[in-house]
Amino acid sequence: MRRFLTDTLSTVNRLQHAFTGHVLLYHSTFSVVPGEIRRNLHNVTPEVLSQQLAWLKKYFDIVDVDELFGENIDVTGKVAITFDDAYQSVFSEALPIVEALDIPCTIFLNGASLSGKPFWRDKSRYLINQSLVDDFLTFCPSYAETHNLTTDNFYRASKLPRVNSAEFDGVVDEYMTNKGIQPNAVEYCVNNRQMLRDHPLITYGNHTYRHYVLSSLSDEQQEHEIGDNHRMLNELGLKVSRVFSIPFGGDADLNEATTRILDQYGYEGFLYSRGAINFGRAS
Amino acid sequence: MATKDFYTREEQLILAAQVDQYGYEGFLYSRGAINFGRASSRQRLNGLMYRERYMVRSTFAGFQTQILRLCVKGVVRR
Repeated sequence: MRRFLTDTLSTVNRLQHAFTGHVLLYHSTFSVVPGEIRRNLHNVTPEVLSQQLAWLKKYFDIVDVDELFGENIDVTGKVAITFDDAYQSVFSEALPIVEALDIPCTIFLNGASLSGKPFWRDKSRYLINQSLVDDFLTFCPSYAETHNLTTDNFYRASKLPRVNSAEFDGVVDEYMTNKGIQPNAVEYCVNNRQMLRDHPLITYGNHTYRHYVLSSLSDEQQEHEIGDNHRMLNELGLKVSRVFSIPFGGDADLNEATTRILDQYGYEGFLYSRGAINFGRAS
Repeated sequence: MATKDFYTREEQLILAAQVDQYGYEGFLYSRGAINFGRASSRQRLNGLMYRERYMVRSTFAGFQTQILRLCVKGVVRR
């Protein structure tokens, strides 16, 4: 019955080629997600990824995400594949699939990970998965109270624009140092430039230096987050996208300063992550 | 006014800033066209183009259900 339903949906969805365009967002692609970050991580296993991409390749035109930007571009029937945060599993598990299917993809990187600084959201997931949130809130009672952080809302509240991400990350670092937790306990994103493959099918894109909520930052901090990563990417000598991926990707996660800075750096456009698809022409 | 009357992108930005400075909500083209829903505002923010993405569900069946729902949602919104 389930198989019948999936086959029926697949048949109906093929028709979308005639009027929709998709930009798919993946994060990690672990076969088995490490226990330290399991809860709250968006993961698609290599097996499912392969199934999804093979289906898309059969019924849609898979293109580089940059090809969906520009005046009078029609996105109908096109699909772009993107991976945010550059988890190591993308390089070890997803890229062989992408290569075997001969489809392009874009990996949006955070430069801080490459410099050996663990991804701050993985640190948050670590605290949750290790049942350390209560202990963390006890460690910084006034900070938690000021920002209305509780055990129940910890994950969601810590990524709201009202909580300055840089400040929050600093408090978590203090806590981890105080508890003797080694930073490499949460190093799951690419932390070595040698891992970045130079391949005609792979493009690298700007996802800010530290993946902070841009609208939670001052204009100057935003300039650093976007600009530092922009420069780092251009120094890699790899194929770089002219499209920017907004960390968290919601309406409230960027503001006017964000678009102004992106425009200054010459970005063609940006990607939301609002659970939606695209239709027709850009303008 | 037609698009070509704005000349360069820099001049477009200067004009937009001047329009904004005097508190105008926006401006009207005269390009022999009509408007549809929120189509144009969905594709640009502060002049910068954007595209929509979605986080792909972790099963194949879930993915098929997801894209059908997104399609229906998108069509209804348009």
